[in-house]
Amino acid sequence: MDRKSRPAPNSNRVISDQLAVLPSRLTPGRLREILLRGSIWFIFIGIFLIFSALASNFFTFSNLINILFHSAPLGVMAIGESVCLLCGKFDLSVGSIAALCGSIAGWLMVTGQPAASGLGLHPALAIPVILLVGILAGLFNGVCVGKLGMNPLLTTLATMFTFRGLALIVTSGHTLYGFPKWYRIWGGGSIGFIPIAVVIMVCLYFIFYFVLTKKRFGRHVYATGGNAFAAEACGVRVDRVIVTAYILSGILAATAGILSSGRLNAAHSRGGEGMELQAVAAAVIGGISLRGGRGSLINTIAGVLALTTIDSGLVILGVPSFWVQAVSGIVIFIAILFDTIKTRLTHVE
Amino acid sequence: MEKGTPVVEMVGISKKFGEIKALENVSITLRQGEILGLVGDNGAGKSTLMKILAGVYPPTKGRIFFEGKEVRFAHPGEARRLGIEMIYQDLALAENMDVVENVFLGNELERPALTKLVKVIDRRRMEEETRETLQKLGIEIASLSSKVETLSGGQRQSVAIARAIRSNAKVIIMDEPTAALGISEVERLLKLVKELKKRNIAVVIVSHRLEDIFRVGDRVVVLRHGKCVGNKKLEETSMDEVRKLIIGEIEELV
Repeated sequence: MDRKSRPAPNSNRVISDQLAVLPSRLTPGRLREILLRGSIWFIFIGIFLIFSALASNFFTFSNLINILFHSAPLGVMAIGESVCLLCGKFDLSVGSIAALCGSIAGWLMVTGQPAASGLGLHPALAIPVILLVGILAGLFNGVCVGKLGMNPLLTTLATMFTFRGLALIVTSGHTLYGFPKWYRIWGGGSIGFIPIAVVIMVCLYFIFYFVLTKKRFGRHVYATGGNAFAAEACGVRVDRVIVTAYILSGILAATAGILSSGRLNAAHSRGGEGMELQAVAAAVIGGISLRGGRGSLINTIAGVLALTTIDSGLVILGVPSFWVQAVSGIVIFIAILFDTIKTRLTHVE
Repeated sequence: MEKGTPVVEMVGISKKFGEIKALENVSITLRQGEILGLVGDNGAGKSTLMKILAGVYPPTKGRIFFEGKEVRFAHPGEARRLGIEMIYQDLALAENMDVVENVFLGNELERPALTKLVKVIDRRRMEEETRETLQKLGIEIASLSSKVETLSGGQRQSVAIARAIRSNAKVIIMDEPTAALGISEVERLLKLVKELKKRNIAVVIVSHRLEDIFRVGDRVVVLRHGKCVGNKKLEETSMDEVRKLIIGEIEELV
């Protein structure tokens, strides 16, 4: 009975034939899936072409570089946000962390202003301190959400206010300006015609794409977002994954703060306001699911570029600045609508 | 004389969730190559007891011995490391990930990339081992990189089983394994259980379906309202008696 019950040899062959189907073979269905998954790139290109048609000086190399340059802080911030979203969590405090870090940077390094400490710290000392602030802010969020099981949306909403309040305390509500050269260079400097901030952003995207797809931690991020109980039951330390995700989000937000305050050569407590939602929007229109576990960092950068292109395109077209926000909102709305339709298309089996 | 050395002994296990007593002073012993049926009505505490063994919950009271040594699991990962695998009723699969990733979830293989300092996931080796495991099970899955959400119920269960048996499990717990299966799939599963027994793996089947347990099992433990009310060798009992123990027509404290 036991002998007979083993699978017949021919059924075994069927299996190995089926297994022999290469995962990478390009079928029409798979092609459609790839196109749909990367749809944000087509949206980005579409937006870019529309603005190129409308404004004669839009489709130039220098404007392209400019768009990348202006994308850098948001782009870096959106990496951390994406990691949190992939875990199935949220981080609404990233804009405030950026503001806090910029403010502390000003307080440590700027001299000759009453709101600054007067320490005149060298950037080589100040930058590690600022990154540490980002780590600690992320650690706090991570412990609350990952270890204590607090609601991520409400927790980071609370820390969003708290960190911005701390920035206000640090700066006494003033704008700090006049950063040292070796601080400004990261956000505002260039190598030849390529802004250093863009190089940093691109490198960070490569590193985090590699971590998310090839490293154990990255796969655990996806597993945590996909099914936290399953991950836990298989021995993944879900709490640690979440804490790490928030720490990464914090340090990347701090980096974004360094880049933007360096570019502007100024920092104040209201810097980066609303950036957390732009970061969420960039990730989501890039196809990262709010439910966690789905999406790719490759598409987050396209989401960031699309948002920045709209901003800069509207400015170049001379659209009054108060229109810009409404139009950005509408475009995000359309992108999410498109994403919903896309999800339906890919789920019909 | 019972054959086989004990792999797992759970002694005097109690579990409270707030004021609710889910388990009260339950003791079971599991031997190598033994198939134990764990039965009881809904809410009798079967799943809770097994989740304690798998390290999901700590017991409120009681001790667990694994191969004679007392153990305490802070985390399911620690139980897995010793060789205690649980196949959950909902299978505990990450639907957003593919077959290979689910089979190796929490146990990913790594290889050095460029330098020894940087390790990356060894996808090729994981695919090979998954293919081997599935072939051994006689499971048909079209593509190893199919996301689990695209698989049928039976295929999903195969993935969960492949995950449990691929590691060097000594104990495999199956929570309601036949509940969602078709007739031929149930047959295949019971065959697999016998196969595991031959390999000296202890199997616990948590089930409502007494027929399944009587076909492959060696012993049955009956829980009722969190207490152990029966612990019998199958050849010394009948389905009717077990059914009466489950619903409480016979009272027999063990």
